[in-house]
Amino acid sequence: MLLETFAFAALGVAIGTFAGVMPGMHINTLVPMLLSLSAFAGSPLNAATLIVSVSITEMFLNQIPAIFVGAPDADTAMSVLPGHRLLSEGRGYEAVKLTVIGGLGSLMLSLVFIAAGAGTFSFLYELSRPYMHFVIAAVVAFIILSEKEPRKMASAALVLLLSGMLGVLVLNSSVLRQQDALLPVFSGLFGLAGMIVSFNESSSAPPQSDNDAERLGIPRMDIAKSIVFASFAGILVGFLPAVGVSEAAVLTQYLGGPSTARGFLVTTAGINIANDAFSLMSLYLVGNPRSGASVAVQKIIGELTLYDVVFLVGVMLAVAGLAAWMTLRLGRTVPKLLARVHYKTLTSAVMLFITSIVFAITGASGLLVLFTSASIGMLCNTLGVRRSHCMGVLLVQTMMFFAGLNPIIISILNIQ
Amino acid sequence: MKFVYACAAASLLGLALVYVAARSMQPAVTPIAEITFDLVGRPVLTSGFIVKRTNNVDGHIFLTIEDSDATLQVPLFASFVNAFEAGNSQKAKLSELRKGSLVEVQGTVGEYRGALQVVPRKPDDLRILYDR
Repeated sequence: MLLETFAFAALGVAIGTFAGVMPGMHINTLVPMLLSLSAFAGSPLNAATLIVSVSITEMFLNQIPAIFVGAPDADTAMSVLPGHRLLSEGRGYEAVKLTVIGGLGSLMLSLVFIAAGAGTFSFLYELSRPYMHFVIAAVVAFIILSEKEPRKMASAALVLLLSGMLGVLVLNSSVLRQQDALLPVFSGLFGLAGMIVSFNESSSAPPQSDNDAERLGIPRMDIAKSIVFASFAGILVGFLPAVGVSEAAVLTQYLGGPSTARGFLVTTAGINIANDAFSLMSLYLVGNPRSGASVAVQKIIGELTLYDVVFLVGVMLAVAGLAAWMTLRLGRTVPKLLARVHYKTLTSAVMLFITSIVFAITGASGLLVLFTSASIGMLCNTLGVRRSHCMGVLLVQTMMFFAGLNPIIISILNIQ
Repeated sequence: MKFVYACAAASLLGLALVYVAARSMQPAVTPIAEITFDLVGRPVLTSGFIVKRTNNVDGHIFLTIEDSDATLQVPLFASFVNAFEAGNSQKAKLSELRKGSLVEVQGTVGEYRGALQVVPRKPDDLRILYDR
């Protein structure tokens, strides 16, 4: 039994590593394949071990393409900017290390939070839901005002408005399959836009340091604070529908969370992992799956017992250790490989790859959305305001959802 | 400054084209199993056989539909029920919404008490593909 568990966990780590480093690949894309593989697993718990291992490994590894090639998915979009900043300072490995610290810390702390607050989630959900649009509206106002200068505030408002309009159009219509809608949006806003700008500005990637003995450029207290915020926000994402990882990362930044690039990397990675842990636990706590992976686990096991949960949490913790090691290893290897390639050639290849992936998954309308998102991302850059304003693409849509305005806007625009 | 104008023009042109596409494109059918919590608040088109129908005293009708892999709740609120009864393009009747009928539903993904649901808005958002 133990040997079988190790074998399926190892297979899960291998598949999760591949899915994590491949831009555009997500656990939800793999679920049908994993379900078909589970037929050969022998027992439901073996199959669940495989799925949980793929899911948790992918969460750690998907920071690699976000940081080194600027190719994010919906969950890692907010890692691209601080990741790229550290990369341009030759500190790409430190960026990876911070995401690993955030992931491991938040996994453990969120499990404690979940165990301690299991009975209060429904109450918190009912309590917070009627006020969520006010919270988001306040955050949007604060984001604009934080630019301080009137010209920059106007620019920030313009970017928020344009990205918000894009979100409303894409996320409320049939332009794209909703399961894939965020791929071209985030690849354009945060990936392609940055690459086009850096392609024009830089001719080579700076040499990267991978010395483990070097101190992290963030105080321990700030790391601890980021992990606490991430653990709480990850659970919030789990039980609050329509609030995604990237929005939660922006919200925490403006609600007292860390505002430095390093702190933000710890937080974003932590939210991802805490959300994944909560998704699995919610199967037992509230009997409903909250993610693609937990849907698959529910299909295989049905109703989870306490024993199943404890077993899968054990798998999750063990695999997280292995995935963290793998992420750090690749965090050292990938920059060395990338350094061998001419920077402009590499950037061109990645841009071509992202465009091809978007076209393969979402077709011609995906390319149109990619072009529009990249234009908004570049506008943000040329106006000299923070790229996080592009998160208007989700914030406006989420605010409308909680305010109950979606049907009205859809009717006015006549897009459904 | 020229680059700012170029980016702004490209953004506006892109948004205009996305809007035109949004108005003209027909949705593709999403299998029920692919409707997850990530899609709450988003529009989907799905289909399945009615496996349960409950009539509420307030005039609401609650359908449970199922495809080969999963089940989904489809609440038809009283306002929708009245509009559906008053007329839809296929002249379907409420009595045809019975166990075994195959229906296609277009609506917004929602969540109620931890369960996912798709809520249609207009009478034409619910189509009966096969009446048992």
